Amino acid sequence: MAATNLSTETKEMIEQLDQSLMDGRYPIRLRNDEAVFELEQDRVFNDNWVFIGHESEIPEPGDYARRYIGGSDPFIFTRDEDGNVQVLFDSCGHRGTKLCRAEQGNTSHFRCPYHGWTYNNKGELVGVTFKHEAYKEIDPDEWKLPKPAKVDSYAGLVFATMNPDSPSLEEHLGDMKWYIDMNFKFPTNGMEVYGEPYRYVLPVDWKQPCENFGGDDYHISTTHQSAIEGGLISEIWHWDEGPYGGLAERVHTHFEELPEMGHSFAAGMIGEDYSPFYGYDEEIHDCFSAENISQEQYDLARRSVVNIGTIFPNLSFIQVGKGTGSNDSGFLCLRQWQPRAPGETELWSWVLVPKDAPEEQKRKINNVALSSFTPAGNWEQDDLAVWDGITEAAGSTVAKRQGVETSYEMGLGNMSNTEIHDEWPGPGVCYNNHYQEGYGRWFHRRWQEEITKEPLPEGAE
Amino acid sequence: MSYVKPTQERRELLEEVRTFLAYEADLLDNRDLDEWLDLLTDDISYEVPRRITREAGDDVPVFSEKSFHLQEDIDSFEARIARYEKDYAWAENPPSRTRRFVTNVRIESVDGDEVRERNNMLLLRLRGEEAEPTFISGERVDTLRREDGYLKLADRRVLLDQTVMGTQNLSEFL
Ligand code: FES
Ligand SMILES: [Fe+2]
Repeated sequence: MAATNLSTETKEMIEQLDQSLMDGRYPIRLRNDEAVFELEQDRVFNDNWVFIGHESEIPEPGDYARRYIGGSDPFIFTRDEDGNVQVLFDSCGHRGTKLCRAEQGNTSHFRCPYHGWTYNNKGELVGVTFKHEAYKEIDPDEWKLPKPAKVDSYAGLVFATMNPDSPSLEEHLGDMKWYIDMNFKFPTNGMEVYGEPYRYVLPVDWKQPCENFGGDDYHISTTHQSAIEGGLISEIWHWDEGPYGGLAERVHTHFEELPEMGHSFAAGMIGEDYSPFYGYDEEIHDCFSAENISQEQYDLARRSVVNIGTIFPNLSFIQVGKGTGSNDSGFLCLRQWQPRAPGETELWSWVLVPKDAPEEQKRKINNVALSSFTPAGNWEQDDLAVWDGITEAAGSTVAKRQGVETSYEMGLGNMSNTEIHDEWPGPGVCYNNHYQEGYGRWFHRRWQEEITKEPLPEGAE
Repeated sequence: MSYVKPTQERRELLEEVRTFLAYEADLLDNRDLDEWLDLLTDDISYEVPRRITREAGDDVPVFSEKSFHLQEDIDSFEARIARYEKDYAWAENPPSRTRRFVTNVRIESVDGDEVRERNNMLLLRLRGEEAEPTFISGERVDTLRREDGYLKLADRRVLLDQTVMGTQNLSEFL
């Protein structure tokens, strides 16, 4: 199948994107274009580290879960009999049938339902049906399940890349690790996934939620007005009196250099004298310590009311205190925005809880999380509704031929009253409040970097 | 085993349960949520578990014991409904049009004031200019309790057919 032609207009938009972003402008077409979608599949998702799952989802040998690279390339995420994490292309080497027919489960072997070839959970072909009559000389080493070029994990988060030339995962995450640590390692024994990820199909380009979770605090007062007025928020937001919705400090951090470019982080904290720890009940604060992180990171986690972040290309997290009345708590959600089609994304949403919290606390944390940040949650329901129309506008001929742009000017020049935060202890370019859109500009700047790594195909008239 | 032939008494109860469910569906379709709240007992337990595709014979249940699209009690329903009544609850502004089809009502057991019944539910939802509805379907396992002569919903588990949700968000009670 021939690749969809890149239009000359869209090609120009991609080539000039760095300039456009510097001027605070983004061509909306890039959010819904068949040729752009195909380029993203090749150059963003097939060529970079992407999230597969959390180690705690497959704690025992034989545990498996079906996962996707780039939204639809099928893989088995499993723990082999030696206890090692494996990521295997889910397609039988004989005719290509899928081997893993469930979303999750436990098995030592995957047996193909078509002609019965059998693989162990290292991806080795260990059984060929009627071998001695039919496939006498087969070399099983030639027919192992394909694997990503590299698989590695950080703070329990397992990533894979199909590209043997990718830098190490350590390098890809770079200084973003400082913020991952702050969010995943302040519980002395880490975080674990609770239950199974929710999956919803959203009619919006994957890049939209990625940047929203990378630092769009600007939308909160409008999009979530009903949740705020309804008081569906943890009491920790009212503990202090600060200029930013009750908070003493709101900071925004993004990265402008490779390899971190495209990752971003934002936080809201209250004064030194308070220890909200994102809103987790005081009775579990003894699960937290500075054992695995620096005192500075621990102190920021201690004062945090909300943290969000995006790890390029398509993994976001939010750790925040929400709730209703007495049922309030902190929680951590991981969300992966999986591209499915131009202008269409599948949200995968996991809830994580501190591993050492008692079961009854885990249940409570989980309940507050699902009431807030799943597509049925009081907060997220509205996020998904306000993105209506982006896909339609982006796919329009007007967007392509007239090159309609959207504004990313906040924080540029004298546009807003934001400044570089001189005393911020963490890495990256940090601003002292949330009135800036650098997180978005640099997310798209990184996207351009990836898309133009090789020459773009010729544009079609 | 076969189906149980309904006695006259059961027939009457079945008719009453059907009347209750149709009335309830009508309130939800019209988003008369405050009136719908009056149909719930104060100790209502309500769950919509995440369904997971599993191999036949897997001894782990297909309905998650930990992950729920909705896991509500009377307070959380009140909080959700109060939010929908604000002007800026974008998920339902403009409101979606929904149609609930409730069928195959079968009474499982009667125990004092409580009736255990199961029914099938198909919800069609249209938003904005959509010509094709998105749908949610599943089985509901309910316990209805008689209070002051009228049936109320005391317990509901909605067993969805979907594992991946095709609706962009879930702002409906099922
Ligand atoms: S396709 Fe798998 S054994 Fe033939
Ligand atoms: Fe939001």
